[in-house]
Amino acid sequence: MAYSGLWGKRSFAFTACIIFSNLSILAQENSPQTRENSWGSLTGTSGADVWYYMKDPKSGAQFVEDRVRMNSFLQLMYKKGGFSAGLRYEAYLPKPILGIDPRFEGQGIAFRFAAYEWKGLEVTAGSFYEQFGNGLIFRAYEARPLGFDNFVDGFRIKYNLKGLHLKALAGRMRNFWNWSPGYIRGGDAEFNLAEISPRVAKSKFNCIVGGSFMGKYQGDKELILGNEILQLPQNVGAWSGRATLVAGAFSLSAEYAAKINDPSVVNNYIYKPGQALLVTVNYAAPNVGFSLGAKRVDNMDFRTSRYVTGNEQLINWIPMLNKQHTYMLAASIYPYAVQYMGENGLQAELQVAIPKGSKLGGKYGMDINLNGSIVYGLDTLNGTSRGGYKSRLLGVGQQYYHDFNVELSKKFSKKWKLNLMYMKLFTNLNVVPVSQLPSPPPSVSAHIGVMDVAWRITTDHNLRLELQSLYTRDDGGSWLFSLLEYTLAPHWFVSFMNQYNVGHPDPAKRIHYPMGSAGYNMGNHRFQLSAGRQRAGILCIGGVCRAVPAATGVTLSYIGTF
Amino acid sequence: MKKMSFFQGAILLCLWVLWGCDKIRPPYTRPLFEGVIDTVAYPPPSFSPDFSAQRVVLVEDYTGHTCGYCPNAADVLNQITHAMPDKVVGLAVHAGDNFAAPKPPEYPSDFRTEAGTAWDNFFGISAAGQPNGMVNRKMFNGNRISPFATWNSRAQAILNASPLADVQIAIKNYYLADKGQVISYIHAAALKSLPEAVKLGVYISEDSVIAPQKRYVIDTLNGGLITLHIEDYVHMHMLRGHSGAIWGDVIFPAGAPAGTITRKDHLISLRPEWNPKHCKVVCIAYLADSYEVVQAFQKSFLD
Repeated sequence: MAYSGLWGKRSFAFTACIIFSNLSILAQENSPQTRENSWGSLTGTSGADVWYYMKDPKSGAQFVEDRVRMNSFLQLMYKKGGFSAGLRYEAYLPKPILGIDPRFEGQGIAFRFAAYEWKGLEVTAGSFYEQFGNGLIFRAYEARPLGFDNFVDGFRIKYNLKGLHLKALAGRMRNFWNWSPGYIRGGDAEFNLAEISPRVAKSKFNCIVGGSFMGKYQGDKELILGNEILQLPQNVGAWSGRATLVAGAFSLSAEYAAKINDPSVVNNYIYKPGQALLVTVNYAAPNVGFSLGAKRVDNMDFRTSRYVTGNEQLINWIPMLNKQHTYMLAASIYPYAVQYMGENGLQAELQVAIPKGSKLGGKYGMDINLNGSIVYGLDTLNGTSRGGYKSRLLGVGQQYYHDFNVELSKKFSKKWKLNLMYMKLFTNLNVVPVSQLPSPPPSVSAHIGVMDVAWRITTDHNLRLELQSLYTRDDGGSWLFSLLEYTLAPHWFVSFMNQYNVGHPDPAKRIHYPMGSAGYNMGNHRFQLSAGRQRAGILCIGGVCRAVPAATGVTLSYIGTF
Repeated sequence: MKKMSFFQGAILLCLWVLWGCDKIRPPYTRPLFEGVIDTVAYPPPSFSPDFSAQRVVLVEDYTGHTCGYCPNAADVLNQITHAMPDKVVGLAVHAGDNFAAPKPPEYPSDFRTEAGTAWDNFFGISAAGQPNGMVNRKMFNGNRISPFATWNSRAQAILNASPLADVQIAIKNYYLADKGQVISYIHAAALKSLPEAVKLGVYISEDSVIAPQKRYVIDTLNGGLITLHIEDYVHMHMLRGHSGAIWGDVIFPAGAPAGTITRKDHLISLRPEWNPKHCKVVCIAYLADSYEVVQAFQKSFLD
């Protein structure tokens, strides 16, 4: 069922047109605003990441024979009245850039759809993204930097009544340039009290309840494993129920999901049902915000194929209950990847805005963010070999991760702004294998400090300095990071950053990773040219991660909309 | 009309729910081959204890195809088994998520086994880093894990300390090519009374499995390491599976008198990816409480 043969042609020519098509369109219009007329409207987004790889044995950069690699796409969307249609062309030439799964190699129209809306009814045929609730049993989405894309190709109906929202869908999910071996079908219903009751809508209270079901069909009836023949469930179902209660500044959300027997290579072919619970409490007042979240996941890895691992063919998505850090060392050395097979997690966050004019806040106020999260494994007992383990509801197993961080953001004057961040983390490297060492230790504890200073020299000239340090005696040792960025608004920016593995146990690997960049913004189009070393690390988005290999070379990036 | 729409939606949702589940009830599995061994057509051999039987040491190499340092350990294991073919049984156990998991497209195979994973989880080998292994699963200096540089000296030390076996194992295999099966008669004799119960596990190993392997070599010109992708690497002693229980069955209770004999019959169904010419039945007899191996033995499918 590969569709690359139908839609794709292995040629650079069309790919080269991606950039030029946008430029020509831009040349014809002074404003990127789209206008719908009797012919409807056409909008688009395109982007390209081009790497020129160079030899660099010192950094361990992988040698790339083809030297130049590119990931690119062009997405078009046409809309007229209730009708819409779109497509996305993708090209990974001659192969995907390092770190992206090599099975994306090739080019073609990966995504295409046609849809119409009529009086609350929405029908889509073709490719679409969708999510039920928090995603515990179903989420089809794209995370381009991860090389993750599991859109559904099939048929979807949505019906939006006042207070009631219904969804039903069926199809197959993307599997690189093929379709998943399994089929999915499911439905979701959500009831929103405030939408049907004007009295509730005017009050500070509301109640939203919802429920979902997602089933998959995979044809195999039996599997030979060792000296056993496993009886496989061809149809595996998962369901969830959720509720959100709002009372003034407080809100409480909870979702529980369960899945029937789903033996797979990930769970070592056990028949134990899966379940997940996610509860969050939020308080939001003008100067104070607080949130507390708890999560329990037990055997909830749900895929369209029972034979794949990693990030492949996932049907569901378990939200992370850890802060998604943005500073380099905090985000990419020891990030946490959500363990779909089992974890107990807890997160608390307090945001305080010290008011302007107060003693602590000064003339411009100050923001304080306190965040802490901790994740444990399940407390398990061995059960029957194929029946799976038993897990104690209130017990916890070994610790997988913890992270405590505090961030201060203070504007001192119209010209100066300072961000400070401190973070303490622990990562169990047996569970989250993010170490770059061939024989990593079982765990790592680290302290990270960040200073981020912004200086607005004039209206158009801005300078920003980032200094970061990761201190640890474990694993690959300590790191230093610095970044200097100069922006000449509204078009230009240049930056230089360097990372240094100051504490690597092997002195020969205590090397610098410099990277210089220059960029140009042209309306809704942005170009960036960078050169230097890319450090091996881990990239995580929403708790889903991929390895980033070491690489040295020059990159050209483009992203634009019209 | 809106009420009707709501109920229609609810009914639609219920239909989806009813449509989508296959609940499998225990037992979830059945044996690959349901039948009995034809002991008339394929008679078990006669057996009597040989109190001069020699000790055979088990050397296990926990490895993985993306472990760049592991071929160095494999070389050591090959040297030991070539030097002492009748005194050492080698097993290359592909285990752990770090180095043995499939990494397509370069390393698409999954050579991990249920037995290897169970051992690895229990003994914590891959968690301690790979390559690593065990020699007779014996504790040395309080640690059961043996770095590969010590395998030869530790195996020699065990053999020198007590060259005669505590347990004798004999294997007779019948290879049924037309059925894709091997009948394996395994005799074991207690050659002396042992303080712990003895368990016997039966496993399959395969030599000359050709598959990609990562290997690090020292760059003598520029320093550092060069990563090689060896497409046609020859994997030896590869653990391919188990027959019977993963951890084996008790064959002798604690204190069983010398001369006690037992026989275990195994019917092994071949997997399509195995080459019978390169496969062996590997038996491991070990003390049930301390897990120390007291005897290992192997026999080719075709012998």
